Amino acid sequence: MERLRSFLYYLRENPKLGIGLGMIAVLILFGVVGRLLVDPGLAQPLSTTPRQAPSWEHLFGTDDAGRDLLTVMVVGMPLTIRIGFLAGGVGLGLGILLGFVSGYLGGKIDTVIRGTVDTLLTVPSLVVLISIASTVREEISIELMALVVASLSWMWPTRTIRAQVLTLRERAYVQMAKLNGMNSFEIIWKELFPNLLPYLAASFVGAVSWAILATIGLEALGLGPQNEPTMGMTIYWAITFSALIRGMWWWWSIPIAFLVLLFVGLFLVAAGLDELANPKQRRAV
Amino acid sequence: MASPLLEIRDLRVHFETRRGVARAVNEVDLTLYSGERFGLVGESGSGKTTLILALLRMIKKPGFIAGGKALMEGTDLLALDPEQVRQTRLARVAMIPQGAMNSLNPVLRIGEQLALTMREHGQPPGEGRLAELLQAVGLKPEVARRYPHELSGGMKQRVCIAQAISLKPRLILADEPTSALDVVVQRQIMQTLRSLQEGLDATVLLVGHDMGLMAQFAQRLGIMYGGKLVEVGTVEQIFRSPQHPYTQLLIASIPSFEKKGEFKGIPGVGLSLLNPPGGCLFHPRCPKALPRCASQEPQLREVAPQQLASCLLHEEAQA
Repeated sequence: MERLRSFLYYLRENPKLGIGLGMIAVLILFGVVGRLLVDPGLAQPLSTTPRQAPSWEHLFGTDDAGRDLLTVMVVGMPLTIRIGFLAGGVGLGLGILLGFVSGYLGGKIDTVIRGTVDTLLTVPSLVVLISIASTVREEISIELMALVVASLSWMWPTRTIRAQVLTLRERAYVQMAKLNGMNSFEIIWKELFPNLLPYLAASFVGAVSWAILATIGLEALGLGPQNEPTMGMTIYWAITFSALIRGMWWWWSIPIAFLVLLFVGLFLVAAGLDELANPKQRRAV
Repeated sequence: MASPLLEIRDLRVHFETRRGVARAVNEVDLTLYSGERFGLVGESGSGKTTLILALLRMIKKPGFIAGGKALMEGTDLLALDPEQVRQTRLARVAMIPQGAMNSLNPVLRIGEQLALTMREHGQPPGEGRLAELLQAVGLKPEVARRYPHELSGGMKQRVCIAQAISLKPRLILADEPTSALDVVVQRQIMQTLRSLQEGLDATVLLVGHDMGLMAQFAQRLGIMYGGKLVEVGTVEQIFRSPQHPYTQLLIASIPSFEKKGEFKGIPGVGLSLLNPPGGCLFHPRCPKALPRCASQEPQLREVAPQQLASCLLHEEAQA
């Protein structure tokens, strides 16, 4: 309770974090509460009258194939957020593991990890993603999609975390921990890790943003899960059936509006966490 | 005198650099007795910190222990395997760091930090033991719940001392533990350290260059120059009748209330370890240098009871 109070108090000092978290929470709640209010079946093709402009019956209108777009948003938003969190989480997890090992242990392991990361970073990720996604296209699921995206989102976290660990491990208190007979694993886990938590939180949000962006990019090209009404797939269908020139503005503008909300929310959280991690950037009051 | 606790024999620590080998610690022989307070003095780069890091096996590449022994209670500290080294640190040989300001993890509460290292050595402390430790160094038990940024510099140094004594080590290495503190706090900290050392009957090896502090705290002093031990004696002997010319100049350079006049330093600059002069390392700066000081290396030998110095002037006298 005490912690919650001080956290809420902190949010007043750091409005970016508060507003960002609020926006993400609203979007998640939209999916959770929305599921109770609408029939998820309406997100499937041929479930209702196609090509309806927004009305009281269909608040966001319906698409060419007869999906209710409000339902599509209710079902698709959590799917897209889930892919983002899964892919961001897996990518960051790998990044943490490799970054800490590489930065703390150094030596040959460091050379190998750093070399691999630097090499892979030069490979244009979208090309790789497209080739992987188009190979496994037939049976791609939400989880597989997340893994495909995660497979290319671990390099930046590895690199930045390694850099942070390199400066941390030379701090006097880490040296003292060593002089006091702590082993490497304990030092990484109990001395370094807690110091990096705010930074890792900010990295996580960044990784999630990147993963969602990559996912939507793939989906907009038609390489996503065909049977799931994710945000990117909705945009793909809108492009495929020329929603723009046919004047069906609700079909493309509504998913875009939701994505803008999501990205602004994630950006604000990342900026807010950055302020938390780097107190020097805080504005003088 | 009490029994020897640590016998350092012919300790050498070398640093391999692109421009050659630097002998940071060279042929050091030193015996520390149990329960004594020994001060190690020398200018920057004379190898005093390297010496204690060698005892803790914390010499990092490109440095390495090139030879020698450090026998403590029957084991050679320099021959332990990594796991034994880990167990020895803190439990048998503890270190009080130089910059207490940065030596505590900023995100861990004091109590957690103390408990963390003790748990690592298989001796998890209870609430009572933590309170006892903090009280032993003159802090309130409530400090256990504080974060380092809530403490003053002196309090942080006390926490570091509490950590160092937490497992009742036989040997405590203190690397200029008070250099970042003001003189009043310095005195209090040194008194705390002294009473703890007496209580534990531990040996303290204090490294520093504050001669005043050394005179008050230590019983015996060792003077290092260029990686070599040049003189060892009791505090009384070193201050009243220094035998090595370097020590003599060092003592003469201490400002005093009685003597008025221009402040005198030691002429010349410290030697380069990469390119040391031949013979006696100190001869280029020595006012009493003989011609053969440039070619002949002096050995540490007894010049008075319990006092050793390495200078050809004494070898002359004895011959």
